[in-house]
Amino acid sequence: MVEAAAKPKPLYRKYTLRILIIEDDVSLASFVTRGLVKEGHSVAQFSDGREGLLAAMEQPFEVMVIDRMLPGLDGLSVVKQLRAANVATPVIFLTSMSGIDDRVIGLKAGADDYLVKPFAIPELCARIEALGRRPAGRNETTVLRVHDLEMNLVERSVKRGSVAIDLVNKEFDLLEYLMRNAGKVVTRAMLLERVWDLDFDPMTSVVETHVSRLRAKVDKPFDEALIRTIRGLGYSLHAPQ
Amino acid sequence: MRLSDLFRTTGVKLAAACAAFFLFATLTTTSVAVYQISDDLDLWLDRSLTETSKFLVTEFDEGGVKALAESVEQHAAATNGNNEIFVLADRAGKKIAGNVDAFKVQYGWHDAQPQEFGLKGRRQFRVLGQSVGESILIVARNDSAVYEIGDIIENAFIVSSVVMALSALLAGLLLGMRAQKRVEAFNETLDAVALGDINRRIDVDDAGGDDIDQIARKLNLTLDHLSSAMLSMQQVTVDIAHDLKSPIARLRNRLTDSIANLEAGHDAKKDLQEAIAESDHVSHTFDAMLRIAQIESGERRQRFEDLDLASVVHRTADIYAAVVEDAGGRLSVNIATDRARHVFGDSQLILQLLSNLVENSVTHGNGSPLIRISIEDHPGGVSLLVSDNGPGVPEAERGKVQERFYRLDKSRSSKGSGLGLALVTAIANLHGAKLKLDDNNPGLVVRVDFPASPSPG
Repeated sequence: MVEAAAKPKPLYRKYTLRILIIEDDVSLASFVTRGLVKEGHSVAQFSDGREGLLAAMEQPFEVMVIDRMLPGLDGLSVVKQLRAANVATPVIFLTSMSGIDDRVIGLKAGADDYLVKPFAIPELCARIEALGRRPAGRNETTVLRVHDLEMNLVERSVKRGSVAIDLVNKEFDLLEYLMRNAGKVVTRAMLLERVWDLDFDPMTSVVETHVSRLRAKVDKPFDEALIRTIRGLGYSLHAPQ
Repeated sequence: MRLSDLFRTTGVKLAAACAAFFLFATLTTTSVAVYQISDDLDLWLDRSLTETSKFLVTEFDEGGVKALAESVEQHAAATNGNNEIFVLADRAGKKIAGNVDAFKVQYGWHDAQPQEFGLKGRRQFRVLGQSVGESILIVARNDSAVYEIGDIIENAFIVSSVVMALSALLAGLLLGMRAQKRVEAFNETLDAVALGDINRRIDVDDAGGDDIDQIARKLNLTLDHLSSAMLSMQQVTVDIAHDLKSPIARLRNRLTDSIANLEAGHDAKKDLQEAIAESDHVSHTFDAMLRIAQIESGERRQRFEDLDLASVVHRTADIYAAVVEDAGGRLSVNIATDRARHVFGDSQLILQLLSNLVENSVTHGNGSPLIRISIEDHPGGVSLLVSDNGPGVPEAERGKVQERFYRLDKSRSSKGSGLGLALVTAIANLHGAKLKLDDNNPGLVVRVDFPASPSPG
């Protein structure tokens, strides 16, 4: 999976993110930081919960990555205090495998996403980028557009150019998620969680099968493909460069 | 066992407490009895003096002073000791008849010390003086009778208390020794188990029904569970070692190959990709193991809710219909009537159970898997059935395939972690559901009998 992170050219970058990482596993944090910096982001790294919270309160960040177990102040309290202080910056919560309810507790405390350790670094990077600079007013949007692909969320209809595309339920949800994250990498695990609401990884090629069916309808009949495979990591939907 | 130990046993402590309690109870009741009896005896003393006096007065009425004097002498002679006094005297205090020489001329009732009658001792006398013609008749009796009875009661109380306390203590000692012996057997067995003799059990009579026997049997049962858990833990450890050694060895080979290729100036990309795939396989196996452990811990039961089994089946079909079709087969859903089937559980886990069964059928099926998921009602609840047309599982192996790392083909080379059905079993157990593997003629049918949802919704 490391292969994707080492890909020489970032796919489709228009922006850099200011990212805060609060993680006491310094080698893991440095790994993540290196990966993110290489992608063009700027990263502030703390290993103490209290120090991290102070930084989060004082400086503007676009995404925060906070570990559950921290010296000084635990991650859950950091998230709670941030939310209590009206800091709405998206938070990715890192949990260990042992506590199954950490995930639920983390989301309840105000985290936006969670990742169970151990994880592949590109997976975390993809999630950070998905959370950074979400399109404003995403909930009011009724029409999503990427290149010549257009999705009407009210009518639940899709067309490319002037050609209407007929999608079944899950295909529509899948395409919606890809379009909302257009230009970003969407990992297999993210799709399983967000589109199918699965908290386990199926052994068979569930994601691949559905994506290939979606491609057959959205890309195949047209000249230019919009859905790209990022090997070993996931997919990305964006306009041809 | 030392005596000091014996006195610390529950039996002796109980016996001592019982003895103290009974002593207190006896003391209280006896005091009340003595008090009441003495009260009654006082009354009786007055009454008997009145009676005697009355009788003597009738003698006077019939035979005058002479007859009375005779009767008084007779009564006086009949008394034993100095407990009763009969005196007839004239008004000046001169004795006519009687058993004492000293007395006081006083009419009516009064209490007197024995010295008044020239007697020794401390027993108080009750005295009745009555005028009879020109004379005074004095009858008196001390309260010795009352005290005698009181003494008897007191003695009886002391003797019985001592006997009772001693026998209670003795019984306690005996019981304590017996109980202590049995408790020591517990201690010895548990010590032995703690030291590693996991198969030691407490000697217990199967017919014995007292509480200690019951505890002994429960302890033995717990030890049975513990030792079988330990055994299966050992088995799992061995299985994990076996199962992970080969992918790790393959991973190592791939890496060695890629170094060799790089050194020779060749491309190592393919080898490295395969190395990644092997490491993913190891990681998947660990995920599945952790997941099973998590499910078996029962923690997720806290998230149980009333859910509709039919909607979970439809969700599964949504996810897998395309996958099965791509494998050249078909996934169908068969639910008799389209109403909700309530089960108390975790929908994510039931979805995973179904996913694993469907994936098993796809992975182990022949070219065109025909998979059917159906829901049936059974008397105690709802059943979930997943059937296929694959090779099935031989009857003798149906129990074993539910164990961790058990695979039908011994080569362990087939796809999958060997944990799929173990996970399904763990999920079924968590839901209190019964899992049954059967022949689908041809193929396999897996039946999961869920108990009815306890909540009315």
